[in-house]
Amino acid sequence: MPELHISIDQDELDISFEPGAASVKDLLDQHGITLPSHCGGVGKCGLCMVRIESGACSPLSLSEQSTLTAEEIKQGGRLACQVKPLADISLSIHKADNPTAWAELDSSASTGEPSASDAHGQSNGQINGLNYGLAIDLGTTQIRATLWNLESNSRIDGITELNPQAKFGADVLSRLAAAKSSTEQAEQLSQLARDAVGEAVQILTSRHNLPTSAIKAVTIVANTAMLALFAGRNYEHLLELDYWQKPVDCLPEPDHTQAWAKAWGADADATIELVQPLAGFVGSDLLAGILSTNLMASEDAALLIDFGTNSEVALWDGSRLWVTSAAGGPAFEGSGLSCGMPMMQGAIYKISAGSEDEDAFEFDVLGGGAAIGICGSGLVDAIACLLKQGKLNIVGRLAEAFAKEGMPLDRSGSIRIRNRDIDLFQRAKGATGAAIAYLLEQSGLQSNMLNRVCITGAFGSGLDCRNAAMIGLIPDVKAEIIELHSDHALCGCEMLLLAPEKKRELACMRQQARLINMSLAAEFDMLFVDKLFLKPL
Amino acid sequence: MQHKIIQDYNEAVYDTDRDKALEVINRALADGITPEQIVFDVIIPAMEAMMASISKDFDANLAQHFMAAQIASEVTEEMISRFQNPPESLGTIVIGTSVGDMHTLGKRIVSGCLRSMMIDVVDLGVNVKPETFVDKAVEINAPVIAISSMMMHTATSENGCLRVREILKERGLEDKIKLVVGGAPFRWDNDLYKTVGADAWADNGISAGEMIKKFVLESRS
Repeated sequence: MPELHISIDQDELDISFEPGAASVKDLLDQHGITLPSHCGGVGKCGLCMVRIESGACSPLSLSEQSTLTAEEIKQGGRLACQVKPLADISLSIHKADNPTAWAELDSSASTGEPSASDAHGQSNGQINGLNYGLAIDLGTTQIRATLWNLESNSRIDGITELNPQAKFGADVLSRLAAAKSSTEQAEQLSQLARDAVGEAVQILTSRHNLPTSAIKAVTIVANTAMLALFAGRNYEHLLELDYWQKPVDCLPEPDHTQAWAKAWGADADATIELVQPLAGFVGSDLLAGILSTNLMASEDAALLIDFGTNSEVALWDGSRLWVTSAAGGPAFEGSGLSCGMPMMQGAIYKISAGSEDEDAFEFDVLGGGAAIGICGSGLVDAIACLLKQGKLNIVGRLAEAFAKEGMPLDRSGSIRIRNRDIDLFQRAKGATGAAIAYLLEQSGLQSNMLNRVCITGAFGSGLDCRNAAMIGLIPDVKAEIIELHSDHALCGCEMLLLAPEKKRELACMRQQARLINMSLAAEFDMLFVDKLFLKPL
Repeated sequence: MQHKIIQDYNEAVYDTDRDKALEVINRALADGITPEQIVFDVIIPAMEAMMASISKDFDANLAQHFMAAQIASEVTEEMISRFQNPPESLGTIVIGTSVGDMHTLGKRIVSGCLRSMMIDVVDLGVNVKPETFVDKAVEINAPVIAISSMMMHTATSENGCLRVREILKERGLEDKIKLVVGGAPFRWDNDLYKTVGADAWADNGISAGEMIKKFVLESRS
């Protein structure tokens, strides 16, 4: 059989294949290499572009001809979902989303102080005495996990990876639809998430010379769809309007949790808790965020925005709690954008206009190495800079000169922001902006009456709040009342792992929260259109 | 003169500047251009130009797309009220979103375009039952049912377009009523409209308008 020779950044791989049968994307999928995709593999989004270095392939499809630029085609660019190899070929991939790669979690994300190595784990031979736990924020796009010593209540380590379920779609709707279409796919989705937890257990314990059986507790917070898919419960109802407003049971069967503990190598009696959601569209991740920000203890009005693929918003008006969510798509997480990537090493996370040459940008890259793409906070800066420079209008269109090829960010021009990327960002922003505006309206508050604005989620702690306010991502409030945090949901999850009494607070919160379902609000669409524009909220 | 008006109006619509668009139109009226000329020689060509540029750019700017249709519809309504003879409506169609789908923007864009093309629209709202689509179309003698679905599961639902097709078949209405669909899932998969039993689909407001207009005119002959 002919072979596909693949180079991914520094790695090389050979795959044999049946000529003409499967697309490059299918072949890569079968070998665990998942390319980004937003269109479901019909050649429209352009995210799965690979470069064919040599060898014979199927001719350019119509969708490739309309999606790829002449320049990209000239350089051997093809869409993996469209191109079928016919004989031996060599291809290169630059921006593979490698779902198995766990990366270091920004240590500021946690409530406790990280300790480099855990003396207790190394010196204490009594394995039975080890008492460790994992807190997990299972996001639609990113999973974050921290390891805790439950005796000393100290944080040992933290890691993050992309949610491997993304191969079923970037947003919760496509994953729920996949699960609903067959129990086999539903099981696969659940398995992917459970395996990710298993990997986190494995990696975090082995790094600190701990046996996996030292894990006595795992606490997971997530949005309702993630919880339902994980537990294999009620996911089939989440697409129905009637269930959005109701509590949704995502409790796993006890024999399931025992099986999971066994699969992960955790202690046989480990407590595994999926913190239950509030309703079909408000997950336990938001509840955890409210808990860790102590939102309800604020004397005056306080707003919490958790930006993500599924953004969630909570508003405390001093006596009442309002909660909602807005599914704006994965643009905040850098997913679905031609130039985008998650907040991981190689991501441009901060941009400012150059001081000497006003056309150039200066940017900061996570990890300090070469820039690979741009993550959400970088995109916010880029959009604000382009607006200030007059290269972008508030409608979201780049000036004519950049309309076709996009606006190059780096000197080589390999990272470009295109009209399409800005539009996707606007849609995500429009949905969250509408949710914020609607909650304020419902509670009779105005943004200048807010006393605290807590921002967490996809943008991490690197968000430039002035830029964010200028383009209407967050309310235009005084800088000193803004609290930026990389992951309030994870912190809340950690509290629940460490302090069981916090569960009472959670129960109280469940009682008090007033659910607002944006999709049932008649005004939503018009608010959404208004918030698409790149201007202050 | 005309050319300048078209250009200025286009520019205003492109920037989604509603006030400026209205200003251009009012100036033209003051200069003696008739409301009829404004609708047929300015607004409709301007919309066509806008949609042509939008359809070239996949998933182009939503704010612009929506506002263009909104402005066109608003100006058209205003102009029609000033027509010498009220224009003859070409026909009336029904529109709505499928069961489980609360997204109104696509439907609003298409309705705006249709109004500027002299086609009346009965908007059944959101989360519309298949029976309601058919009952209303029969009641008002509409030659077209237009269904908007913004999510894959509402586009392909057994309670959506598929069911409307079944009812049309059961009641022997397939010759009288055409079924047109639109929304994001149909743009991802251009053959999806066939799978859900529709007669046609369109990927933007103006092409939906033209498609529907064609069916409306056919039904009159």
